[in-house]
Amino acid sequence: MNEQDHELIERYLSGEMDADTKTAFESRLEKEPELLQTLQTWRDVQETLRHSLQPDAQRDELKKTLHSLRPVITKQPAKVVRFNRSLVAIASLAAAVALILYLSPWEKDLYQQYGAQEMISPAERSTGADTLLAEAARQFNHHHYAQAVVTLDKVLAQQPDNAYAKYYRGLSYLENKQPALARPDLEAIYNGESVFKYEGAFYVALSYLKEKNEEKCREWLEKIPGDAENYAKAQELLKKL
Amino acid sequence: MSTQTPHADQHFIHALLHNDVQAVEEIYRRFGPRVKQYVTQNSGTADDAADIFQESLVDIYNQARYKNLVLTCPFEPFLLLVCKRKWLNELKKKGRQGVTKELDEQFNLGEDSFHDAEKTWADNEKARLFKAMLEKMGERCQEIIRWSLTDKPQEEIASKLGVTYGYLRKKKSECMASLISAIKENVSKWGLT
Repeated sequence: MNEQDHELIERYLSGEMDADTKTAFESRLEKEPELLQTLQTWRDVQETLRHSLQPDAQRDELKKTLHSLRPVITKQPAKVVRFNRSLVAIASLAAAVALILYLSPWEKDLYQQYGAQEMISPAERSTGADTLLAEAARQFNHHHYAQAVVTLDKVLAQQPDNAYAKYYRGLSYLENKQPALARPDLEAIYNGESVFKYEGAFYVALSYLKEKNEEKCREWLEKIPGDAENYAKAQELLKKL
Repeated sequence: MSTQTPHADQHFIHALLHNDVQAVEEIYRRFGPRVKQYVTQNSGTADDAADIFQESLVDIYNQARYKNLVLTCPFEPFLLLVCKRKWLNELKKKGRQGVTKELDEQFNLGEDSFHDAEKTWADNEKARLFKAMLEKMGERCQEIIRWSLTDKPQEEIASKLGVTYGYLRKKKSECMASLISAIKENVSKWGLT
């Protein structure tokens, strides 16, 4: 195998050989397994690289989705499903906000201290439901809870199992001073496997607090296990009660 | 690839091809924990498991998109096989052994499915090897090879690179020959045969 052979392979594969040269080359291929093998590898390398180097927007989109789901595997405990990184980040932010509110001497009402929440707009997925969720997030964050309920109803009509929508509908009812309506949603969240599972329990507890039912409130706070992210928050509130 | 009718789980492949977020989430929820368990019990971390899981799904995407992969068995054992193959090879590359825990023994896979899973891993690993070797080459060779793999006419590429057509062809065949020899040197290091 020499440089000339390499150039012959290149010319053969790019279809630039005149008929005579081609016939001669092909008869060499039959007799020289090494030449044939190099030709096959050559073709394979070209084809494979062609596929892997060409841009694939669909694959890039998929990779984004996969990346956002990474916490499902990396986060403990494995049994609780997470939505995406930003959500986890916001959740810790919310926990910090709750703590600051807890320490605030100017706040008197316990519900007020723990009730403050922000709804995070969903990751861009450009489906109809997500547009609605983004709208609901705006309404929720501007304290238009009744409107948020209406919007989230629409999402849940399309996707009855959307835990995210159900959780925030529960919170919207709660903020809209309708604790009894909030509970079915929040209890469903607690009974499910979503990232909001134990937040669901926490807000069911708050819904009872809102009705001054401290016993029930305590009962629900105690459902939050030691490895849940909001365990400390729940324990704090328990002490306060 | 097999010509059998697709298994009902083909919808998972469809989900990967069309970036169906909810269905992909289902894949993570249902099959992620087992892969995590396997990797973490075999000298890996949860991060390793997440990498393996993510790369395997991209491999399956590539195989379906470019090599017409059709699922003829349930998705779970197929995915687990690809993940397992990938993790074993990672360990081997790092010079580590010690895999004791089996991942797929509870599944009874047919030869075809086994072969398809192995090929999904191997084809993609091969593509990664080729790309890695290309990236190690000199800039000029990389440029010539990358350009020549586009659909542009070779004459146009030659003028873009400021060389004659004859020179481009000669240079390209030199570059390809040295790329191929680099690949051959690394095939077994990469666990490919």
